Amino acid sequence: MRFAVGGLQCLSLAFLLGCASAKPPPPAPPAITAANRAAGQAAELSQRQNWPAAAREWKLAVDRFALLNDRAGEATALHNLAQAQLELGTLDQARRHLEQAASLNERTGRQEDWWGNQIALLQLEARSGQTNALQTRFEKLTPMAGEIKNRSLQGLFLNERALWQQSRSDLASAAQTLQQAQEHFQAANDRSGVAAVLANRAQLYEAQQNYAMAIETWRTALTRFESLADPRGITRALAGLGRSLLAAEKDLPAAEDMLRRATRNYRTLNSVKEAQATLELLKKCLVAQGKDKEAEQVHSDFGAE
Amino acid sequence: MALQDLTPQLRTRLSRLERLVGWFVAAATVLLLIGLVYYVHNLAERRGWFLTRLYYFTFVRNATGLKVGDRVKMMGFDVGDITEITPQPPGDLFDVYVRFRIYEPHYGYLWSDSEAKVGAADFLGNRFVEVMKGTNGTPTYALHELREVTLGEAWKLVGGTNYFVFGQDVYDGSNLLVSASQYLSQPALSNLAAASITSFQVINKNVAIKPPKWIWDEKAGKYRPYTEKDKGYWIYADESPALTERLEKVVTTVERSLPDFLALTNSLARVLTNASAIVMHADDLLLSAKPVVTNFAQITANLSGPKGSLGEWLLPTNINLQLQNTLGSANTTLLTANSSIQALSSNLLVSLENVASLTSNLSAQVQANGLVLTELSDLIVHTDEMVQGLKRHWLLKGSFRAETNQTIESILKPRVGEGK
Repeated sequence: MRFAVGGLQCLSLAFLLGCASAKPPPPAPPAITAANRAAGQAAELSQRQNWPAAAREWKLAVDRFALLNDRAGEATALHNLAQAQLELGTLDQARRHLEQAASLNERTGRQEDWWGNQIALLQLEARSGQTNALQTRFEKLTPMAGEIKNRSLQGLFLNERALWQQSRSDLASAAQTLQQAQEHFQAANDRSGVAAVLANRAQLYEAQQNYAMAIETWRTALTRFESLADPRGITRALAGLGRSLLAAEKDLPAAEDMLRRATRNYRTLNSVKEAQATLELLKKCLVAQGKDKEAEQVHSDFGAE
Repeated sequence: MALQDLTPQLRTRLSRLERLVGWFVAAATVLLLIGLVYYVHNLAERRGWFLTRLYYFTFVRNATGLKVGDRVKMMGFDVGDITEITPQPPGDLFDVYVRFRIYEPHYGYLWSDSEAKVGAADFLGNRFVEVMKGTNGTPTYALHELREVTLGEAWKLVGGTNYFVFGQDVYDGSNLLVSASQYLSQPALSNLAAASITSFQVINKNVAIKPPKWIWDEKAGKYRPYTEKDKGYWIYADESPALTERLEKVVTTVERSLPDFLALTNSLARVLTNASAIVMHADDLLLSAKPVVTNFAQITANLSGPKGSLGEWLLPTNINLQLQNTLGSANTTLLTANSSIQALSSNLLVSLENVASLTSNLSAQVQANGLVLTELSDLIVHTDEMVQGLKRHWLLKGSFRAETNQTIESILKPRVGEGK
């Protein structure tokens, strides 16, 4: 019996060791490896929000893909380079690169990517306050929006449209569009999109002075951003919740706490403008609670940090 | 089935087949026999079974590295083999008896002045026997017909085509008249006649004898009959120890010399250290002397200048006292400053020494870590190779799906409007 077991073990071992393993796969050409490596590193840097380094790497990736005549890769790298430049505030360069990417995608018939470029251009124009350009682009894109097959892209486009409508004080249309955007994001299981739409809806409720709904929606948005571990979204939700509570004059200590945390987080994220706005709200909140001395000190408190 | 049950045609065919098989077996047997004979013949040729073999012997100090069957060499060829190695009886002048045989025709090269060289064969302690070709002696065996002749018979052999040589050394007292292998000649025979020599051995080089029947007798200076009981011809040995023994001697010598060598290197190190210290001190001295020289140059410049008369340096007497006080104070200040500077410099020296030891330690660390880093690098490389191998193993490759060439994706995030 013992011999049989031993023999079986030996046979198993021989089988395990003796079976031929696959040969190593042939290595990819160095140029392709270099291009992919540059793109991979750039994506990593973008994810870490190290925008200057990300812009450099995306530029390198653009050059590498261009050398390989990989137009799809080049267009994507150009798009992502523009995103990094958008974060860095070099809007003109970002616009130029997005236009290049859109042109490449149009020529290669990559419809979805072309829509991605257009949505990024919409975001850029909205951010830079180019309302005429924004209107022209929406007028051009809205009739074609039905062609978008990707639900997530559809949600993004509708989200931008709702924000545009809101900026034009067309709040009812904006609410409807946001509702549609949320449905598209939910259908696409795009949690980030849903969280963003919720934040936008909360802001819309604030604009409509529907503070109860605003508070409720901000809370939902905060939960969504927390589950996504999105620091900027969390900070926005905290600030929005504090602002809504203050506006509704409900639970002011909670509003103060939210606004304090939002101010600190905005400073950590180097968002000076938002931090300043939140600090003003905090001052108002403290005054509303009769904490005038603290309200006077709050500037120096946050300034000293 | 019995043979008689077969049809006549089949029987005919079968008997033909049987005959064919019989022929085949016979041919194979013949071929086998031919092969065997050829093999035996070849073996016999290689081992010299058909060759005449003549025996020789020698004495060596020890039998290390020699064994029966070892080949005996001459001029790079295998010319024989060792047949016997035995120790000599206690009290004997010689230590080890080595008997060997030399094959035809190589024994013709061995003369009475030949030597057996016993040398180191390799680093494992083996040795070999090499016999040296004779140059100025008498053949050890008479390879041609030898006979005892009288002087009168010898006179008849001289002249014409002379194939005859003397087969022995002939002396008149201690005076050598003719030597073996010397051709028969009238002067030689005259000398023998004058010395009243009546008979001697001669060799007829025209008649070869195989196998030889006469062996050279060194003591008698002539050939004597060779019998089966003879041990052979004694060839003197030129013996060198095994290579390992020689190496051992070298190592012993080196070992003895090593302390002296180490002392020498230590002395050299001390000399170099002292020289280095002297150079450093000289450098310090030069640095210290530099301000002195500068000051001296300034003084001489003042002296040689238009206002350089020494008188301008002299002070009026009324301020001499004040000047003395001032100088006294200045001297005190300078002394204090000097002591402070000394303390400072000593502290600085200590600091510098510490920095030197620190950098030295750092250097040692870096040198040591160099190996560690190399080994770490090797470890990582080997681990990577192992993991890559495992990834390709048929059993495990399912767990490591090959990464497809991931296409990069456009980064596009939903925008949250700016709050008011």
